[in-house]
Amino acid sequence: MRTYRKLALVFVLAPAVLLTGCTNDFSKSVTSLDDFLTVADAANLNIQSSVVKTDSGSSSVGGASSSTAASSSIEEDRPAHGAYLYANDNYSISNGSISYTGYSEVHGAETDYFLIDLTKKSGFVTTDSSLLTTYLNAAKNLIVLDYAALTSVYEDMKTYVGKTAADYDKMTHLKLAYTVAGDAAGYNLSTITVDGAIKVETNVYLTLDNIGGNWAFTNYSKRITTSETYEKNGKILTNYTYSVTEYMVTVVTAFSLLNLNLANYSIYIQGKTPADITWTNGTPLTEK
Amino acid sequence: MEMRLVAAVDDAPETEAKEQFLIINKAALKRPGVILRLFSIVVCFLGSVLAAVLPMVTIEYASYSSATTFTDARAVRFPAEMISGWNNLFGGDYFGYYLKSKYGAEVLCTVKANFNWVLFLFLILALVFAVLAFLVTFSKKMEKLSKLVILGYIVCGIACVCSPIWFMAVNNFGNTQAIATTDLGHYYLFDSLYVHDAFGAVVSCLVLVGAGVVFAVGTAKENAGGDNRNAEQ
Repeated sequence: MRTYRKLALVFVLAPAVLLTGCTNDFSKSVTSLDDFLTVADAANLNIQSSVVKTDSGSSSVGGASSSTAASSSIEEDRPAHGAYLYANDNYSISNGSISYTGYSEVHGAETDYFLIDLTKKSGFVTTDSSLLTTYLNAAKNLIVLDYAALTSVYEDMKTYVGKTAADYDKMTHLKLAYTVAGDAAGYNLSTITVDGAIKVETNVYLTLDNIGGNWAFTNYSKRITTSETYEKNGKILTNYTYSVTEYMVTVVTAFSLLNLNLANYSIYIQGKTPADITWTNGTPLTEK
Repeated sequence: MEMRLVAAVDDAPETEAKEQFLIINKAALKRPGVILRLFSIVVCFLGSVLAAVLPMVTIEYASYSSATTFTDARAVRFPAEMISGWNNLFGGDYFGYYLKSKYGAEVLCTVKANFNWVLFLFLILALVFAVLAFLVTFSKKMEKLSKLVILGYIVCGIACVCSPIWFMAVNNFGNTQAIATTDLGHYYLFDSLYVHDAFGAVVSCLVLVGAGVVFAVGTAKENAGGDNRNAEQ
């Protein structure tokens, strides 16, 4: 009889032990502020790059026509741009009409500085590093602003803790969940609001990575899909519009070197004319 | 002599000619074939329980094709995520996976698992076959269904090993399609996503297939030298 009891105990307990002991517990619903990781400030991180992309468009379902997506900036977010920092204060920036790369190369005791207009595929070389600082600061500033924007998103997510859809006007769905798996973490906020025939679905994904012991924001995607149902010529049509904003931030333990091939660019020497230049054998550049 | 045999056949009771349904007696319970068949039912139950308890699905990232766009560093960063049998079967708990957008953002998405009706049906089917195994064991009338029981156990085992497929299907992820932003349903990429069996899927499959093997051996023993269940009645 005792043997049977032991066997029964094994059959009941073994699955229970296995149930609790053999699976990961990476993903959960956010229930308190303690579920939010402590994220490092931009000043304490080596943020190598930050790229922001935006897109929006519309499509019609049920109708004869549909429009294709058109790339454009979204009023609530900043325009698409990119900023990259490398070792030795080299950089690259692309923001609106600005598209430059600042590059330095050491030759013995002298350092040459190149500022290249990526749009015109031309640039100059100089020994004056200050001529590159304007866009270097602009690139750094963009990165700081982007990281601040992600920090703002993170803080905004915290305001949804402990709330339900009923706490918000016209909201029918609210989900705030997170995953922490190894050196990666992601927070996901999903909401749906319905106002008559207009339904707005918002999905916000914020991904963090642990770099050198610090949690840092690295990827962000916000997608807003608005669907509006209406009747036209006796047919029920649904018009979808969407907008996408994405941030891709690269955080490194040490800045990498910028590998730049200058063969594709025309370079002039800043502040010099051909008459000022002579070859090492004394021949002026203006002569063959 | 011939006359005597004919007389014996004629005198046989009519109830013997009529096959009887579900006859359980102590003598039958001592036969190795019956014991093995009954044991297969226990093994089937065990396999079903293990499928609902052990981790059944593993989510990983791997560079397994030239089209992979996830960086190796990203893949290494995400440890193997094992989905418990309970969450795989009934859902309700969260799990995470990466999405890669058209523009390259790699976002770690957290979703709630859905009820896995496919695997649930297969496990219910396994229990149905266990009941059938019991009926076949004690009913000569149903003996012809013994092969169906064996097949059923094995099919349910294979269904367990196919858990990642059912899991992705019911939770609607893993389908790499177009990534045009106009395609509202397929904006994200799933490449590098590597969803495969966790050990629970293999174990529950082996146990259910084992149930089929045990039942087959039991059937072979029962039928060896002819079925004598009527003789014992």
